[in-house]
Amino acid sequence: MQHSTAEKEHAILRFLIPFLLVCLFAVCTIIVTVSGLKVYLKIQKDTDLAYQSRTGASYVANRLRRTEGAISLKDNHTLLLTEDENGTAYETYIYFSDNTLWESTVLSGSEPINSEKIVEASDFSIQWIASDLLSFSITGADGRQDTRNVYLGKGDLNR
Amino acid sequence: MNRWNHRGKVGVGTNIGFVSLLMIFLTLCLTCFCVLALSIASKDSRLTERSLDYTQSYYQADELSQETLQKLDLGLSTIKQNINDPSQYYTQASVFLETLGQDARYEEADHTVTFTYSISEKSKLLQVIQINAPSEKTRYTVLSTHTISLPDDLSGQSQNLWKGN
Amino acid sequence: MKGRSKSVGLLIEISISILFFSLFCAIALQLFVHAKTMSENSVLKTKAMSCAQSVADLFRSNEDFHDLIKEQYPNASILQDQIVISLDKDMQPISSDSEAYQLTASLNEEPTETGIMKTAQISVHSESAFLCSLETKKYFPKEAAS
Repeated sequence: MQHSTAEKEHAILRFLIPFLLVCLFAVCTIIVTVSGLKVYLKIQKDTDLAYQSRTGASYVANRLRRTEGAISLKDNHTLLLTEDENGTAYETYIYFSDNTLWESTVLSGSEPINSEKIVEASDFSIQWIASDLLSFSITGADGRQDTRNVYLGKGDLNR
Repeated sequence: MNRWNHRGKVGVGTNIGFVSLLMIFLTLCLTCFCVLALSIASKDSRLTERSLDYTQSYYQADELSQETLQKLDLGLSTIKQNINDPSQYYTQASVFLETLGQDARYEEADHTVTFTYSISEKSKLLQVIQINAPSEKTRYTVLSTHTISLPDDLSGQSQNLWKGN
Repeated sequence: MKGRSKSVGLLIEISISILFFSLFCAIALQLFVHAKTMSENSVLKTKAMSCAQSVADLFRSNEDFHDLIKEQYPNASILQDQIVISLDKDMQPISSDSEAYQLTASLNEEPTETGIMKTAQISVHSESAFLCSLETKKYFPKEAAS
């Protein structure tokens, strides 16, 4: 009797210890892999957030530099660019609404329609700091602000 | 007959090979995450470099425009010292403008000159300057400085588009 | 005996798996760190250039540069021929106590017969790393004597 009990215990140990060892290996490797996944997700999230605010700021700055016509502000969140193409006046609105920066080009005097999304943001504000200098700031979804000053290169501006 | 003498699992908790399979699978997963992370980071880095290069080029073009303005101012000042008659002044000015380069285009009607400075293959800086009359205090006025994008060269490519009928 | 040889086999298999997996993890960890560093550097360089551009555009304006700097960057250190702005790790202007980065604008004036050519060399750097630099010029013509 004692001999069979000892054999039984021996068999259980022979079964259990390797099983536990394999389980330990599996758990450790899964932890390492999940950590790798988290690092990848963090890199992707940080890159996306940085991309949003810098793309928005770059786009607005380059759009201002490209404008040949008059530049004015409808309010602190709306930029109005007026340009003349073959005798027809067009207005481009760059405005902030619904946590997004939008752009819409319409005939002069019309309200913005069929707007194109530029980038998602939690805030956008713009103001004059001199007669030829505009300062705007875009706040990304993570709360980080990107502020830029843009020189407009014109002698005579329509405020 | 020994009760423990089975075919299949004998005296160990798992089969040989399970650990290797697990290791291969998790190594593949980790490799994927590694490659994806590196790919995102390197694309972002390349985009940043291109953006910085463009910015540098823009400011270099602007520097060139200021140097051209200085030359223009000096030239106009010299012409003004010798000539008071506006029509002769503008004639001399138009001849002088051709020597400045930068694709200078002079419009006689409104006495404006447009200079073009290259920023990149697809982008240029345009500066429109009004040449003031000799009686004015300043010799020129900068009307606008703006960038333009060059259209893609589609020569040699054609597409049959549906005309709606 | 068979059971014992299988146990030994399993142990050897686990040891070899741990060996290969740990080698691979060491390489993967280095690559992850490299990716994270690249991503952080890109963000930093972009923010630095954005700051440099803002200051360069203030310089290009027809208004007085020193007045504009005092207005936009109240904590800036302003000398006749140099302006130093202290920036934190997010490239936001701060007072100079806990700066992580510095924006330095070196100014130069070259008078000519007909005006003055002003030059600004703007650079953003930390104690150990140089991030970006920009050079910009602005020509101010003298008004003709009446």
